[in-house]
Formats: sequence, C-alpha cells, structure tokens
Amino acid sequence: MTPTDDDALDSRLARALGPDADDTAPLSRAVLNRLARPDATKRTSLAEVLAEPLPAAGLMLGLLFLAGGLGYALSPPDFDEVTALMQLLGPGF
Amino acid sequence: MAALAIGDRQAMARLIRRHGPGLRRFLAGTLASPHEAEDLAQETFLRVWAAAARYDPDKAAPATWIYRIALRLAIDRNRRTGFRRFLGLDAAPEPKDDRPGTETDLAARQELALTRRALASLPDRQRRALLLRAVAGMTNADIAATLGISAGAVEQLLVRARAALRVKTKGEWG
Repeated sequence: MTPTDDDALDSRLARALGPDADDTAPLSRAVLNRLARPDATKRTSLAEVLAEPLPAAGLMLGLLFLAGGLGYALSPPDFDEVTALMQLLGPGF
Repeated sequence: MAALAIGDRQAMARLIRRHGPGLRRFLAGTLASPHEAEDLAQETFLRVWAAAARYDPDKAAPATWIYRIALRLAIDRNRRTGFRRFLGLDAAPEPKDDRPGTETDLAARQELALTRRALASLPDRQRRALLLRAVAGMTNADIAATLGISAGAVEQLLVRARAALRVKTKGEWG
C-alpha cells in the first residue's frame, strides 16, 4: 500500500466517524456554559464519584457492619472457649 | 494555553474550534458507547481549562496534552461502562436518530456502523494510534508522546491497524 492509499483510508475513517463533527458551535456553547457555572469541574468530579460504585460499596459495607453488630449483640455475653468446649463435649464432662 | 490559564474564554472557544472536531471523532472511535463522545469532549475541555496553569510547553505540544487527557478519560469511562454492563445496569442501547431518513443519511449511518464494527475489532493500541493519525492528524512523534510508546512502535501499530481495517471493511475503503 502506498502513502496515498493510507491517507485515503485515514480520510475515509475520519469522515465516517463524524460527518457533522466539524460544527463546533454546540460543543463550544456547552463548554462555555459549564465554565460559567461556579465550581463546575469540582461538582462534576464529585458527582461522578458519588454516582458510580460508591453507593453500592457503601450499602454493602453498611450491611456487613449491621450483620456483625447483630451477631455480637445476640451472642451470649460470657460465651468463651471453656463454655464452648463444655457444650461440645456434653453434660457428662 | 497561557491565555487559558488566566481565564480567557475566547481562547477556550478558539481551542475548541481547532481541536473539537478531531477530539469528538477520536472519542467516538475510542469509547465503548460512542454516543457519549460529545459529553466526554466537553469533560476533556473542562479538564484542560482547570489544568491549563499546569501545562508545560516543554513537555508536550498542546494537541498531545489535550488528547492524553481525553484518552485517560475515555479509558476510565470505558472501564466504568464495562463494569455497569457487567452488573446489568447499562444495556448500552444505540442512540436513536430522529432525523428524516434520506438515502444519504442511511448511507452515512451504514458507513458509521461499519466503521465502528471494524474499529471495535482492532486491539486498543492499534485503534488509538490509527485514530490519532486519522482524525487528529498527528505525526508519529506526537502519537508516540500521547500513547507513551516509541515512534517505531507507532509505525508498526499503524501498518497493522490499516491492514486489519482494510480486511474488515472488505476493500470498500481505500
């Protein structure tokens, strides 16, 4: 393949990917509007973090702590190794 | 970039006019959900605005710097899109086109679909290198700086990517 063929393929690819991408007015308007808002980038980053895996991870951690807390609260207060052994070996011990 | 750093919004408009078209096409070819290209192009320019004061012209050309930011954002977005699809939260529907369906539009849509399928079949590095050349018009050295590889590797990636693309498009392209 010659460089001309390569250039033709590259041009075809660029055209195919965005026939109307050359109109930058909407993009420019959108970016400048977002810049006009106070702290646009900071809020966007925070929103990204909050909207993505954090809620699911937080819920899972919360459930884990809840289960742990419930288990601790419902367990007998003086259940130590000796008590556990006696229960395992039975009353004849 | 110096003008951006002091808050010149006209400079931002000029930057968007210059790099916006290529950036949108690059993102459309890079993202797993191409309809997010416009949104991510906006995000890229906002990041450029926020980080303009840290731009060092000795380290990278403006285009290289901008596309590197866009590439990082695209990789991050693809990762999250993949995760959301894995969880079943994102079915990634193709955007509906409400424009009247003239024959020209239909042909353009078919070509776009063919292009996306062909690009999607390329390995990531080949696809990125080819897009940076085709839509951003970068030299091998600029592509190498953007992707963090050598210029020789870029040439190899381009040769392989073009060969694969010709096969995938079954000679419909040049």
